[in-house]
Amino acid sequence: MILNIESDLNRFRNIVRGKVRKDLKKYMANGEMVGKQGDKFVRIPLPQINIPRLRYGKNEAGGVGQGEGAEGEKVPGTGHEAGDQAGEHELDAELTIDELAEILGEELALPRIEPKGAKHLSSVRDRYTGITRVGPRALRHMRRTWRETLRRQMSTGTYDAANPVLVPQKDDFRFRSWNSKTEPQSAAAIIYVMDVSGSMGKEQKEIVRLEAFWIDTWLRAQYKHLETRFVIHDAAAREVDRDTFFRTRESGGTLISTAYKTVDAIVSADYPVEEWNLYVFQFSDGDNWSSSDTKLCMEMLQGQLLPKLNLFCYGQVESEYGSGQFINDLREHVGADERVVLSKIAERSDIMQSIKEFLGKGR
Amino acid sequence: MNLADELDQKLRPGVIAVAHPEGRAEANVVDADRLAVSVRSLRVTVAERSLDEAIAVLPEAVGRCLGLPLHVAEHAPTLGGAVLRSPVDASDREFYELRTGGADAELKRWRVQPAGREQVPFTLTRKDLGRLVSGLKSR
Repeated sequence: MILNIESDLNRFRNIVRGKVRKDLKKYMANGEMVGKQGDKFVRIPLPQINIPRLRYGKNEAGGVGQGEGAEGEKVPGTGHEAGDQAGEHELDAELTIDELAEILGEELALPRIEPKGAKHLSSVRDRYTGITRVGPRALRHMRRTWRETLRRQMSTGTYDAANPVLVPQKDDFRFRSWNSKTEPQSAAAIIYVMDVSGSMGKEQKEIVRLEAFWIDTWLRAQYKHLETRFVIHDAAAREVDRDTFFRTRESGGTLISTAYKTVDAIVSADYPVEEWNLYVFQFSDGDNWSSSDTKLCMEMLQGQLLPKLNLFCYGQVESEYGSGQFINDLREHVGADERVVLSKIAERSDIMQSIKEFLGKGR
Repeated sequence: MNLADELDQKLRPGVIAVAHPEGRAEANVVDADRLAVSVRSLRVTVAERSLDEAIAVLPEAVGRCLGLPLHVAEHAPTLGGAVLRSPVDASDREFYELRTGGADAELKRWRVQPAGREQVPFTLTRKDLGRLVSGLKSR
């Protein structure tokens, strides 16, 4: 019986996975899934039943008010009252973040990321694998203690099989002991940077939010230890929490170099380059305030930032006013660098392609 | 003669600049004939006008001349400037952009292209150009 239930469950899971895979582009372009994200699971709304619709037939049986009955007469009811529960039109299916990342990777043909060789964090894990003769009472190993007692009593002839009483002495006690094992652990940090100047509208921010969710999902499946930091900027930059990152809108101008300075400060303070795999994802509409600031940005990228990063991804999100110049400047100055990926995102449907461009290098 | 009249008298293809006690006007003229003029950019500088003052008066004064509302897209006092834009015209996907640092104001027109923005000239009657110069120097 259990086997039947498990096979049914597996079948259901496969249907869900197939459905998600089929509609991945749709899920990537709308925010339903993002809003239902938990720590380990993502809830995905799957359409279950079709909502009934009225269809007009041929108008052969008269129209409204053509039948029997007098004006004001009540229409006989069926006796049933209106329901007070919402109609159930969708089924929420749960997928783990890892399953979702796997589907994303398969569908976009993303290569697994190979962390840079030297970039490892060492974590020390204690495992109780040894036995010692001394130790705290809390770590007494009773079975080994009884065995030692039995061995001693048998060898000294004090063991009576008819009356098998074991009395441990001090030398019989055994205790658990631990070994500390140093395990290398790949660690990564993502720093998201967003332009929140007046020219970045609500829709542009929503595109960034959706894209960040999918990037997070993929990288979280690649690294056991992932940290995420958020930087917003207009004419000045500052680090913020996730919620502020996606909600803030300023009216100021755009000075991208201020964001690069903040990112560099975060990396220098918290992420030694030899221990961390570092990713920067920057989103802007590309309207930097001045060409002199753009020049400064290029100098900072080439001289300070890029040498520290696994990947620098720049997504230029178009507004109704089109796309700014910054992506062209990046292409001209650092476009040839293999750590740099540039992507234009005109609308929500471009998110899938953009993620493929960002994460397709396997870095 | 005022600043607009001074500019009107010198209109011909090329970059034309005129100075007047009211201020200074500079137009990058693509073409000009008896009735109309096509310009790539028009810049007017006045002696004294703060950024806040410019933001307060220019949307109304210039928007009236263009027949389009202008809104402040970016206002950056720390950078000493602001960017005002008109709505994007649905038919040709073009819009006006006005950059001001307070005392100066420069008007351009852009076309939204898949590859980016392209600056395009805009055509006005000489009379409307005169009104626009007056609008740009409003206080």
